[in-house]
Amino acid sequence: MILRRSEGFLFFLTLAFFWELVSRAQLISPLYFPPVSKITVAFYHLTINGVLPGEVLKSFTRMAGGYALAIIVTIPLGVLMGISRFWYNFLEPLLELLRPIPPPAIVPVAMLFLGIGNAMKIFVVFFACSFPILINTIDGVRSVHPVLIDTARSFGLSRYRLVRKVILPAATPQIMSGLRTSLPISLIVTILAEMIGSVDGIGHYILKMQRSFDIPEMYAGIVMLGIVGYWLNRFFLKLDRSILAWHAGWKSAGK
Amino acid sequence: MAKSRLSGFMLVALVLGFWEIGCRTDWIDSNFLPPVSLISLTLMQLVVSLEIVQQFLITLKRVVAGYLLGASIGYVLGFACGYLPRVYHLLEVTVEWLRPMPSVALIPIGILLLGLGDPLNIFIIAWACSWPVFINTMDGVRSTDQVLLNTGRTFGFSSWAVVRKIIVPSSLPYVFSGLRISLGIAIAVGVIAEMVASGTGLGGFILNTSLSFRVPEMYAGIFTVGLFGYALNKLFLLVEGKSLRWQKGFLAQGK
Repeated sequence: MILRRSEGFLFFLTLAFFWELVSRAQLISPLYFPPVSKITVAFYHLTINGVLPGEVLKSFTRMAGGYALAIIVTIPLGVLMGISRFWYNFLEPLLELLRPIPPPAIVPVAMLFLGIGNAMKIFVVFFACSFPILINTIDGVRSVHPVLIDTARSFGLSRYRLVRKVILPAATPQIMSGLRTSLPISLIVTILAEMIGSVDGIGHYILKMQRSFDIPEMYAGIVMLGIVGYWLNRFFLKLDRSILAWHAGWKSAGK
Repeated sequence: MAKSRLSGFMLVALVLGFWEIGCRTDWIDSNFLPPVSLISLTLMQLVVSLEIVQQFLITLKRVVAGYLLGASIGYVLGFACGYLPRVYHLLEVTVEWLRPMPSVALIPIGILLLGLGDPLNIFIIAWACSWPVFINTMDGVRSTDQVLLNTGRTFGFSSWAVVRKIIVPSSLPYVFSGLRISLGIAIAVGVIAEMVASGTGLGGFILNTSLSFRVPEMYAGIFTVGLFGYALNKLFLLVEGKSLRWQKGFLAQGK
């Protein structure tokens, strides 16, 4: 396992080395694509003096707020819409009307109503994350194997227990997949909102560096974002594995 | 079917009526949220003058090109990583580091590399679209029912036949789920790139009208983007329904 991972790291380092070489040889403009070593130095300084961690923390708080809000609101709604034909029919046209609106298009509207503070960003992140989670929850609830539900009914489970003990666990893999999909979306939307309307945050920082032509600093910011996203994803995978530990065993047991 | 969705359409009508009346009675600030009637009128004028049609065609071209490119790359890579653990281990570190990289953060680099025109938009859209397809395809390939695989092998299928007759069809629902998410992302990211960089297309239109405080025009633009997304999604569902028709019968039989 460790050997396999080192293979992956080796591949990654080869790519980085290739960049350094091409940039040093001036095959690509070193002004636009500074060598990796220069970016690393910039990254190191900006991390030590606390600029990057500070900006990231601000962005992260906003992102986490909107993401959490989306989870709290959307999963119960999705379960309801997955189980009940009535609620699905009632809410679907309105949601279908809102869903195709791309989250970035909401940013100007949110700025009108909420200004350029944290509330605007949290709202936009909430809006953007809600739909992937909602769709996956509805789909997950619906695609619960009919035999499972029939079996539970035969055993006389109440509606509440049917949801809690059968439908929710069976839909969890797909709900988690929705959560995983909306994780990068939440980050993207946070960055975008910070680029268009903000005075701080990592998105604002990257764009500011590009505009003032501090290219290594710009890359350092982007690298920082990649690292944050990476750890976010790893953390999520850990969570995913502990929540879905039963699922892997269930699958390998051949159902 | 039409009858059962009546309640949903009534809810939509209620919300729209409330909006219009709220604006007319000054209960809602019309500067921020103009009445629906005014927005519709503005939209009609923009369509007749072809102003919004031109922007729409620009966006359409970029979104379609970027989506097709990104989805193909995502599918091929996802399939390879799901089917061949070796490829997955080689690419894992690079992929898991690049994947969470918010596509917005790449726009500054994209500008340096590709300028402000179509190639930038197509590149950013393709980048963002490939990930959901990639992950869903990988998950779908991995979660192929072991019983199906063993059955196929017992019947002496070659590994090519196993891929073609078992893995490809059984992963298809996952793939479509990824494709559907990507479709929304394609439009969203297209709008983002147009807002941050090009200033043309529907995204550029929305931001420009908002910055010059032409609020009804801004809402007309948002509505157009929403309609665009809606139409694309409907088209997609049509294709999905046709391609996955066998699955319904398969599930109803209880496997």
